[in-house]
Amino acid sequence: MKHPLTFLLRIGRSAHERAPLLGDLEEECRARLARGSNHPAVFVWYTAEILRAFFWGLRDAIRAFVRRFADLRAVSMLSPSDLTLSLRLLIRSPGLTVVSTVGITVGIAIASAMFGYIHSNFDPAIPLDEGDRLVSLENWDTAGNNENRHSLHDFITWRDQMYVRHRDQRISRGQRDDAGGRLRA
Amino acid sequence: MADYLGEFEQLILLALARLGDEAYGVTIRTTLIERTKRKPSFGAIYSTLRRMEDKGLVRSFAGEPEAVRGGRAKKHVVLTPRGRAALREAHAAIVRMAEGVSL
Repeated sequence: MKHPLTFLLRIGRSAHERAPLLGDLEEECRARLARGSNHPAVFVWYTAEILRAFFWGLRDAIRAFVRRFADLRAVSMLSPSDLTLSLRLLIRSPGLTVVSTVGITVGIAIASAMFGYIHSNFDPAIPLDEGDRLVSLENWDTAGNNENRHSLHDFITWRDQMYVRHRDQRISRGQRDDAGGRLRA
Repeated sequence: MADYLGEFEQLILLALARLGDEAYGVTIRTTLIERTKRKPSFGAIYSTLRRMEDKGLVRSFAGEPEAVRGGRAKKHVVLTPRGRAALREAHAAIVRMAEGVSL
C-alpha cells in the first residue's frame, strides 16, 4: 500500500531502519485486510502509524542534536527533559498536535496578512528619506515653549494640503508643470 | 552494575527473550498487544530498539526480502548477553521489591 506521507519517516531514521519499518507497516496492512478490514480503515491506521513514527523520529533527532551540541544546554532555558516531556505529550495525542499546529499556522498567516494590509493602507510613509522607518516625530512650539505632538497622519495631511496649495499658486501664475506642459485647474 | 532499563524496554526485552529468532517488528508488537493489552506504535518499538542497540543490549540483522512486505527485508532482533543480564537484574529487583507485599 503506497502512502503519500512515508517521506516523514526520513526524519531521525536511517535507510536501514526505514525499510524494515515500512515492511512491517506493509505486512500489518495486508494482515488487517485479510482479517476483513476495509481499505479506508486500514489507510487511516497506516496514516496514524506514520505520524506516530514521525514524532518518535523527530524526538530522536532532537535528542541526538542536543547530545551532539551539549553547549546548547547551557544557553537554553529548556532542559532536554523538558523537550522529551513535551514531545511525549505530542506523540500521545497526534490528533490534537495536528489540529493545534494547523491552528497556529493559520493564525500566524492571518495575523501576517492583516498586518501587511494595515501597514500598507493605514500607515503611510512620510516624505523623507527612509520615511517609513520613522515611528514618531516631535514638533516643538518655540514661542510657547510647548511640545506639540502630532501623529504621522497629520504630517501626511499637511504635505498633501501644501502640495495642493502650491499647485494652485502655480496655476494662477500660468506656470508650467515639471514636464513642461501648461498647468490646468 | 547492570544497565538501567525503563518499563517499555523491559517489556520489549522480554518479548525478544520469548520470541527468540522470530523477533522482528510485527511479532514484537503482536506479543506486546497479546500479553500487556497495550497497542504500541511501530515507531515507538523501533526507536526503543535502536536505543537499546546503541547501548549494546540487543543486536539486529537483516532477513530476506519478502513479497508480503512489499519486497522489504525483516529486521530481526536478538538479545545480547549484556541485555539478558540487564533484564535478569531488572526482574530480580521487581521480585525483591514485591516480596512480602500483598497486591
